[in-house]
Amino acid sequence: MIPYDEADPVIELREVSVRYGHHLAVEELSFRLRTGESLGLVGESGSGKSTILRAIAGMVGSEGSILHEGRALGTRRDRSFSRAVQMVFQDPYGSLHPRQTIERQLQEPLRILGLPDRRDRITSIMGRVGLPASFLYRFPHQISGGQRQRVAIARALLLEPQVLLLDEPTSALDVSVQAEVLNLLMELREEENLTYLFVSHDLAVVGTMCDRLLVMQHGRCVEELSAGQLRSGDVTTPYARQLLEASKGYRPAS
Amino acid sequence: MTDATLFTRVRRGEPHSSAEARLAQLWRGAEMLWASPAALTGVAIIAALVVVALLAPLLAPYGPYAQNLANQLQPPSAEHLLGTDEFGRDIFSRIIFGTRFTLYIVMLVALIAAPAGLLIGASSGYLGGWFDTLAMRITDIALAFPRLILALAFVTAFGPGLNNAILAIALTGWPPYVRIARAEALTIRRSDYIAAIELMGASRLRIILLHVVPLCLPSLFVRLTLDMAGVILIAAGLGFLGLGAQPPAAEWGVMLSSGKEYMLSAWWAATFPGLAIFFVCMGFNLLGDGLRDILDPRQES
Repeated sequence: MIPYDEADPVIELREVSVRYGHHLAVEELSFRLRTGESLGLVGESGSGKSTILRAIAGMVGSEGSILHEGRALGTRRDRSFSRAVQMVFQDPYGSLHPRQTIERQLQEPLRILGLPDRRDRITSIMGRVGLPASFLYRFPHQISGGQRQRVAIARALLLEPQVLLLDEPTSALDVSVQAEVLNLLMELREEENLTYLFVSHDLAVVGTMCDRLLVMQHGRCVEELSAGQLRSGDVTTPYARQLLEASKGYRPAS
Repeated sequence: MTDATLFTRVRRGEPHSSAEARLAQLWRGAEMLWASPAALTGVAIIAALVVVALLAPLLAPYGPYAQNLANQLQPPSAEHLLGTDEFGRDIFSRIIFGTRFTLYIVMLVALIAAPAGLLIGASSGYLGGWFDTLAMRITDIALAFPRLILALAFVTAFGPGLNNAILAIALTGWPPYVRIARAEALTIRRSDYIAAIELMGASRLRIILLHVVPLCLPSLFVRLTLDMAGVILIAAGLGFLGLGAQPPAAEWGVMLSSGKEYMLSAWWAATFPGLAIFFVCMGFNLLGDGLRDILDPRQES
């Protein structure tokens, strides 16, 4: 094994391609996710940004190599990977089991990995994501979208991962709830010293959440920006400029 | 809140544990059942069937096999509520004891066919690949035979008798359950919650048994309940043809079969077992429809 140093990337992609049939969703993409940083992937629908997360999580097959702490990952993800990398999905209505209580869903990761002290871990994680303990005994259809997303975040955090893969975690939520969930994610990142790989089509969200971002188009990275560059509008490629203009919202031509 | 009893907590949907939450769900289901007259009728018929089967010796005025040749083919009267058959046996008592055969057949068929179909279907849908192809081709072959004819062939091979008839019905009954479980599993396996559990490192067996199978259960239950009417009919049909339960068993198909000889002179000998089959089949159908309304997740608010 290659000796692992804190300065090394926690996750590295080397010329990773993902194909769906004949369609090339991601084309020879390479980037490094450094320990402790928050990296954003932005682009329109179909730019391959969610597919990258799924490839890292092992849900879709990929070509090229994906490295976790310097170790190349095979087709199946092992338990040490599960403990280190967790994911929060876009649709909070689809990411929770519809017929299990919240308590049961939060017990599941601990049971799978055979971890002890379940009870207090579950109640404390509910507190950390700002949900009352009485919600443990509800079913997903009995709570709101924002609350579901908090549960999904709690479930991902239970295994105390270093890295969270966030697949548009707020795009299915109301604007007011979006801000709450984003604040929660920022707080958690500071408290737990987490590394985020944050996928979004919303430049404003990525701008507040991320230190660095990659602009994706047609499965390729067209530009890398720092949060500062994004704020000052210091972009070079026309596509990134177009996205930036679009994110300023609709202004009537007067 | 602390002094609220378990019952009120469950009824109001303020559970204090996951078990109570499930009870609350059951309570909501029961309330929906209560609100539907058709489903309630079904429940009443099936409940009556179970009670009668359990208490048969107490309820029946005569023994099911007590012959009285001096009393052959008597029409319904105060003494013999539904008349007597060609051996002078009390038809009312025989119908009461016949509930035991019916329940025995229905329960055994359900216990053999449904779990097998569920496991094969859920694994097939979740795993995909060669396992899916193999399982589905076998299912297609099994589905290509008409059910009663295939059951007849099995019984002929195994030899006539009640247990062989049950086995034959179960062997011909599993393909629909495979299909249903697979269809459910196909939609479930693409869902994000299965992806989340996979990412936590769960084994395939764990995912199938703990996450896919429970989600296939509602539609399977509905189908199973609706199928029970068919099972009773096939069992009665096999009994009627002399391949299922054997005389003098107080099984409704057998009674119908021996009563048909006297159809013109003693209509009651065949009519009442036939009505019993009809009511129980209707009960299962009504219950199945009611369950569909309750268990369908799209109905949940």
